[in-house]
Amino acid sequence: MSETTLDQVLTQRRESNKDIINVDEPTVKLVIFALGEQCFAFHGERIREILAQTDVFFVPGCPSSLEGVINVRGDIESVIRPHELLHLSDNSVGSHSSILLGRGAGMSSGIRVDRVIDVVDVPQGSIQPAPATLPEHMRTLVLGVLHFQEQPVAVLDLDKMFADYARGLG
Amino acid sequence: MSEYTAPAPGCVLEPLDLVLFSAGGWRVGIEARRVCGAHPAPHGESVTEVAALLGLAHLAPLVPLAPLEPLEPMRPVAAADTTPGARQCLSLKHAAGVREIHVEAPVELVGLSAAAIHPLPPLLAARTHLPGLCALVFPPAADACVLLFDATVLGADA
Repeated sequence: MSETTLDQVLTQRRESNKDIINVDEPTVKLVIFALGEQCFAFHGERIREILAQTDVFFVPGCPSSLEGVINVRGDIESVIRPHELLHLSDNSVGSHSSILLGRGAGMSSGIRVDRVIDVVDVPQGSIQPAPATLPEHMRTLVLGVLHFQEQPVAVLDLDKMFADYARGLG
Repeated sequence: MSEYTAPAPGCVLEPLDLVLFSAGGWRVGIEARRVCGAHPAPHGESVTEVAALLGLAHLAPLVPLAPLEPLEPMRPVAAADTTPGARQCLSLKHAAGVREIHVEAPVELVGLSAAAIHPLPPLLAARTHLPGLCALVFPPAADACVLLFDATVLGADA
């Protein structure tokens, strides 16, 4: 006679069901990037293009956070450096830096990032609400946080970023 | 103030005549219809410096800009000294007569298509410190853009 009990069977079945991924769970596309040692992300629908080495034309009379303008197939777009807006130290441009061409608050602009990490689809449920311990300047800019490759990633609100930048912040 | 009539949707605009000059190391342009003349700047005469009016006086100068390739042949302003850096006096149309400003040579009259003139991107327009900066031109193979200004900043009639 088997010594297996019903309880054992049911327990084993419950444990195995925990590993089942709900394929119907909605996913969110994120563009994950690094600014210095910190990781951030934008929602994928906000990013039109990712540009690698692109000539930036300097325009005088702008804050240092406005790097210049670029010509994207005949359209002139600004390039901003978000470091000051996010209260991060802004090191010189590295060889791995890229420009994310984003759209928010009815405007479009390039955003200089130090490194693009990945473009991924993540379950919507994996993005947690922004913690209350965030610094004050970040609370209105962070939509949520998640972990990617064991690193915390803050999902940023591009609408708010562009609106704040236009108002003179950063 | 002059009346403004928006162009009909889809209409092809004629090339825009611009007067280009140098100021504070930058290549700068204003609408040619605001300019009524130019002559070499008299020595010792105190005339308004354009670089200060445009906010370019204390900004780092740039490498020399490659010449524009206009739709129409470039016409140097009559009797103008085209030696880079030479002082020229531009006469701007003004309700009270003429306003003269000092600019740097070469002073050129060019015609540019609407496609070559780019409005400021919104974030740049929101954050620029240069009064009257309204558009940019990107000459082919050039290292820098040409800055187009609203001539009313220089004291021309609106």
